[in-house]
Amino acid sequence: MSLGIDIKYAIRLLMKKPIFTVNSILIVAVGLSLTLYCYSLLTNLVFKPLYLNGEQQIISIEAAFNENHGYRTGIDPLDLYQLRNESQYIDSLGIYQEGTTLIGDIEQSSSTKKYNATLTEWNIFEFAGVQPILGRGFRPEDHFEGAEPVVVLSQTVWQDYFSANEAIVGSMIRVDSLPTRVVGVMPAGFAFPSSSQVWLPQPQMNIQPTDRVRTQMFAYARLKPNTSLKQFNSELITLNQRIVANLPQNMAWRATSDGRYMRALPFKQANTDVTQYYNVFMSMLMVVLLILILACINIGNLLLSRVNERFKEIAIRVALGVPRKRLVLQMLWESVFICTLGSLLAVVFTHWGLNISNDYLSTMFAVNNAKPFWWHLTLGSDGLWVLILTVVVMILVTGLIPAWRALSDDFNAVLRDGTRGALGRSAARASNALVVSEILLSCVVLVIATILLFSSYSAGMADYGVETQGRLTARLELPLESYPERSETVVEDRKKRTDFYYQLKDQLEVQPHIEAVSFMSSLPGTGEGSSYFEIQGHAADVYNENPKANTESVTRDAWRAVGMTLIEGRNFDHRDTETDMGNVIINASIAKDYFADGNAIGSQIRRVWSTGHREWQTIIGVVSDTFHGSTMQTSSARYTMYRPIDRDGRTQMNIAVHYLGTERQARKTLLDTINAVDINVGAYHIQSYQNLIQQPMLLVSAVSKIFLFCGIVALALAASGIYAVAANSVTQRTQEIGVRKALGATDSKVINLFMGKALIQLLVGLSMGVGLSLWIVNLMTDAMILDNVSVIIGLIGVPLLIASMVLLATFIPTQKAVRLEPSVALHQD
Amino acid sequence: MNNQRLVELTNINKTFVTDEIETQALSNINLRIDKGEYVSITGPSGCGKSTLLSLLGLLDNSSAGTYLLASHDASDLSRDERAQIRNKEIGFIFQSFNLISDLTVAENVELPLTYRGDISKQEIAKMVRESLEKVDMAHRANHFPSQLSGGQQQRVAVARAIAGKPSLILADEPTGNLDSKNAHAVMTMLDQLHEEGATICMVTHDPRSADRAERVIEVYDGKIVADQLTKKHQQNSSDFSAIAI
Repeated sequence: MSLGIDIKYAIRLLMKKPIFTVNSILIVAVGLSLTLYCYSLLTNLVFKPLYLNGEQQIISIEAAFNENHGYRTGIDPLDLYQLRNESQYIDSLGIYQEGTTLIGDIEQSSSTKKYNATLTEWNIFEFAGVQPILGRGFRPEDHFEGAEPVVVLSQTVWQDYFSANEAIVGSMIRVDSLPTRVVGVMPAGFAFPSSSQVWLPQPQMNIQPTDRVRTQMFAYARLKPNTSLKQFNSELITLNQRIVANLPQNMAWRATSDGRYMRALPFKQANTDVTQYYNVFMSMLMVVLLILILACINIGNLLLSRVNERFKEIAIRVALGVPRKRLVLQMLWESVFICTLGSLLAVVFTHWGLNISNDYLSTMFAVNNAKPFWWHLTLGSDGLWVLILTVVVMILVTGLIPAWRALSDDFNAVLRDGTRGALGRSAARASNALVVSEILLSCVVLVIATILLFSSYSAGMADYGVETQGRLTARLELPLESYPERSETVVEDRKKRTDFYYQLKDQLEVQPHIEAVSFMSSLPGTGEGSSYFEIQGHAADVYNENPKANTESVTRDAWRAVGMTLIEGRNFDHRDTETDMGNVIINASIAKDYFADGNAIGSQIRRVWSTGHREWQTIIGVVSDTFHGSTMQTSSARYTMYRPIDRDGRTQMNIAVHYLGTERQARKTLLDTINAVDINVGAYHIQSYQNLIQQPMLLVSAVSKIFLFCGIVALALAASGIYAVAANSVTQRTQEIGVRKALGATDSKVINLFMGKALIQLLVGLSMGVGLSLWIVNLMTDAMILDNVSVIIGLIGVPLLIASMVLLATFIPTQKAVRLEPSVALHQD
Repeated sequence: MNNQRLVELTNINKTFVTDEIETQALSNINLRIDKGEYVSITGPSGCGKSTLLSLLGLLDNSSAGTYLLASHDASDLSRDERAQIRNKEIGFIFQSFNLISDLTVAENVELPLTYRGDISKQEIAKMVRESLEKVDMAHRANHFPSQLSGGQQQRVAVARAIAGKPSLILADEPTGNLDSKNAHAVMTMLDQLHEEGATICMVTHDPRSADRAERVIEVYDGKIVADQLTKKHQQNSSDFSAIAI
């Protein structure tokens, strides 16, 4: 009965103050939905172990991450073979390599299409616990030399390229021009190990190797039951030491300079984006937790203000003999309603946010279809449990503190005098702590959000040294079947590949809408990663004290199509293919920084690493500066060297087409011309140059937007919270204001007193906030280069913004209280 | 006679308006208090005596009428001018002491002096010490109000009221929150201050406290209904200086 009365009373109180109620519910909803969203994002993307259909989580075994170039590195198959044979902890393991492949029909009647492919071990489907919907998976004998080439298709390829033809199983198709038999079709959604659309068997020599090779091999594995990843990593360390110690000189590059090599990690964390932006993800989690704390503080404070408003009523209840337990419960009910309604709303907001994110992720990977299959955000049952737990904690925190406050005051005095004295010292300290923590938390969130947002914006707007307007880009892949790489005919094979590029360039450049065509291994704005180089006569004592530069293979006259210019020397021509000594063209920054006397042309330069170096190369030209990789990524380089494609004849190249007219027309011209030159050559990732440059930054840009949203939420929470704390504090000190004014304090003196206190709070909160922000920013700089201007804006602009907000939030209620006549203020309840 | 006049209220009215309801708190008040007088204002609850004290102390503005304080018109002053007069000329003693809880005893007493801005720190310290000694609270200078008894708190409030040597001391039920012993001590203190020349105006319910003053003004329904010398002082004075209309 009494419970019903209490609930009814709590509802009535909430209904009586609809603005307070809606405001509180929204604060809870926003705080909780951000927490829930971030939890779902991080668990789905990073932390929730990947089990598929096994009992043990799937782990990845790979080499130490290549921080210079920003990509995952594989292991020598021989070492994986040794690991497989010697490990006590591995239950099952399979090797794989990810890449792309060109799929075409056997009659070559239609153009080929590029798909993400995995060259894998036969057990992959058994390992994942998923069987084909049509046909079969792989068999051990599919690996054998001389076995008929077989392929398993994803449902996407089957439907997209083969129009869901059920007779596909058993029929022959072309995979990289090679006739291959389709043996199975996997069910929709299956893309293990990551974003695979086609599965091909590894050659037996990679599964049971006998020699060391330069191949980069990865492995998926499950450990034996009751074995931890930590135990397995200890085992790996021992094995690593043995392997690294016995690496031949020409394979010493397998280990890092500090001796690291093989490592095992949860499968979801074996992802380039996750590895690169791990600290950013962690910062995001931290920021969201700060927002949750902010929300809790705000709700607690709002409820605390309510207690202050209800002091007389509580005093009467105490006088009438309400048991303490009942009073606490009464105080809790409001919190229960607010937090519960807020949490329901949070589920709706989170669901909405996750849907938007899924759409964004799909857009982000639309060009390359490389979205890992688990990058689909859902609100799981674990998320709901986290929500329930958080709500319970929130109810207790936001409900018990006001209850404690309600029980700890002198109600006798309240009833006797009808007024309360000035704010007690403990209450004043609590109020100070609240404001300082709000300042601190909002400062951290906003500084990070501002820095990230401005940095990603300036990276998108950065001058990469190229013209992007009216430029179409694409990636070309030459099928190995028609463009083989054979050791016995290296020169001929290379020439064949190179000839294709020049033929395509010539044929495109005669088209009426095409101005110029350029081929580069990576176009400016992409392809981060750099290696050390030394200049003859100026080499550093230690290799890694030399400067670092990015190296790209380019066709002759590669500059015109992307708006670069030759500043000095000459372009590549036939002389560069005829000489044994490789020639290079450097960019203006190298020439300016290392050849200040203007003697770059004719100088010798070469790449170096811990265990060796390449041959000396002669500088024959200097071109205008470009920036490879995003300006935000630590692996990006300002220095670039170019070598002629004629000397390495890559099977994959990027093309930039400078066109007049529409992009659609240029796209058609490009595809038609490629088909005319060689129908088996695949062109993919066709997109505008602007899009290409933005692509690597899409994830950071998305995270920045989340940060910005968090920042706005934090600012709103902090502003309302600080205002509420200040207003509450001023309300409680209205009598004191009356006393001070009775004693002769002018309005300005009283206002200055409160503003002075706010300034001290600001000083403390901002110092701690800026300090904490710097620490987090430092964590993030491991993954990205932050724009200096954005750091200045973040570290100066945000504190100024918060300072204005706090001073305003203090000034408004103080002025309101000061405007009261002292006689009124002295008798303020 | 005129040069001794400290307070002169002429046709003072005070109306409170809340939620469109007008309440006439004071009506047509005419009152004169001379320097060195000890006046008590009595009357039932809600009669307007505290409102009258607020007007006298410039804590509030009258709705109509003229207020001369030391021959200066105080009815139309700015907020800051009123604050300055309160600070220099008026000392307040409240029923609930109204000490600021996070300031020490000494800091509470020095508070009105710090608002003046023209007294050196040393001078302030001296004045604080003197006034605390006068109320016998110097030994508690560094305590916080919460560490003091009610009587001690009120003595500190008296010290605060007299520290700046004001022309007028206004006391609003100064013994209302005290036991008889402490009430007696506070009243004795006020007597002493009066003997030393202070002008005191006290609102009180307590007839015994009221009788310690020279004059008793009785307020009823916002009007002064009686203004007379107390028996104790009738024999000592033949000069009836207050005018009651």
